[in-house]
Order: sequence, then structure tokens, then C-alpha cells
Amino acid sequence: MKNRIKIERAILDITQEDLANEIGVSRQTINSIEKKRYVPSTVLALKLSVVFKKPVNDIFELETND
Amino acid sequence: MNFTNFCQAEYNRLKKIQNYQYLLPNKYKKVGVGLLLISLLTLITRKYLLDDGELIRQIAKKGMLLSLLLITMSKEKIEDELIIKLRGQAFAFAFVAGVIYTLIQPLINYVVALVVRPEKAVFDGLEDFIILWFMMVMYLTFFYLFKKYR
Repeated sequence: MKNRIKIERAILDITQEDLANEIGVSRQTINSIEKKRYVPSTVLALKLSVVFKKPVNDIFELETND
Repeated sequence: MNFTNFCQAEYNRLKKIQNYQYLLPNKYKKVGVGLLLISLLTLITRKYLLDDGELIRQIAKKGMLLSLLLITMSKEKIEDELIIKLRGQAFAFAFVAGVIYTLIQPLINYVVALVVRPEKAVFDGLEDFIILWFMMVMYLTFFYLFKKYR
């Protein structure tokens, strides 16, 4: 699954640590999501959507092999 | 109570168990490490300083198991959903490794004994302490490896 977390973070000018604190996870978890090593739960995806003020579909995108 | 209510009550009970927060606070990890060091020191001291001390040895072994359990069951500083997933994977790997070890290790012991001292070769099972120790060490190894390369 592709995601735009890094880009959205850059738009808001926040670090992985800031985002992690905002949604209550560790910085390493944000890093794993950005690197596409971990697909977050719906709850976490919705929390990200609240922080970025964008729908989940704008942040995450399915790939052909998903 | 009719059958539907009975099933619902059982389902609710099961959900309660499923959602039970069984992990200990993070500070118990330090307690576990402390207890592990004390148990190890006791075992080493007994081996080299005491001629007989079976009771001390047994207590130290139990202390070692308890300390490993405390480390295993303590939360991380930030216990998020990725950590919970890695914890589950590590438990699964440790469980499978434990079963394989329990099945294969007695065979290896027997074959080695046959080669080294054939007259004393006996095929028997493993001590419960060894199995539990192995499973918890495997769990911790897998968990920290998964965490490192998450």
C-alpha cells in the first residue's frame, strides 16, 4: 500500500517524532509506515487523517498487488 | 436462561478475557532484569562456593524463570499497535521453536551420548526448566530482533 505520509508531514512541517506524539505511537512505527513495512490499522489511519485534515483515501492508496 | 442468552453470556465472558490487559507496566522490566542478575549470581556462586546447595539451586532456577516472565510480560515504553503485532509474532515463533526443540533435543542428546559414552546413553525427555527457559529466551530474542528491524 502506497502512502503520502512523508509528503503530508513536509506540508505541515512536522517531524516523525511530532506526528508520533500526536497520534500516540512510537517514532519507529511512523518510520515503518512511511517505508511501507507496516500497514496501519483503520484506527491509526483515521488518526492520521485527522492530523493531516484529509480523507484516508488521499493518504493511502492501494497497489495492484494488494 | 435460554440457549441464546447462555451463548451471549459466554461470548461476553470470552470478549472480557480477550480484551484483558495482561501486560505489566514498563518498570517491571527493570525488576525482571534485577531478579535475573541475582538468580544468575546465586547459581554461579553456589556452583563454585557451596558443595551442596540443591535448595538454593532450585530457588535460583525458579527466580530465573520468574524474572524472564517479568521481562516478557512487561510493556514497552510506547506500547503501540506495531509492538502488539510484533509481540504476537514473537510469541508464535517462540512457541513453534519450543515445540521443535522439545522434540529434537532429546534425540540429539541421545545420539551424542551414544557416540561419547554408549554405556550411559538413555533416551529421556527434557527438564521443564530447560523448555520454559528456552521458550522465553527465544521469545525475547525474536521480539528484540523484530523490534530492531521493524
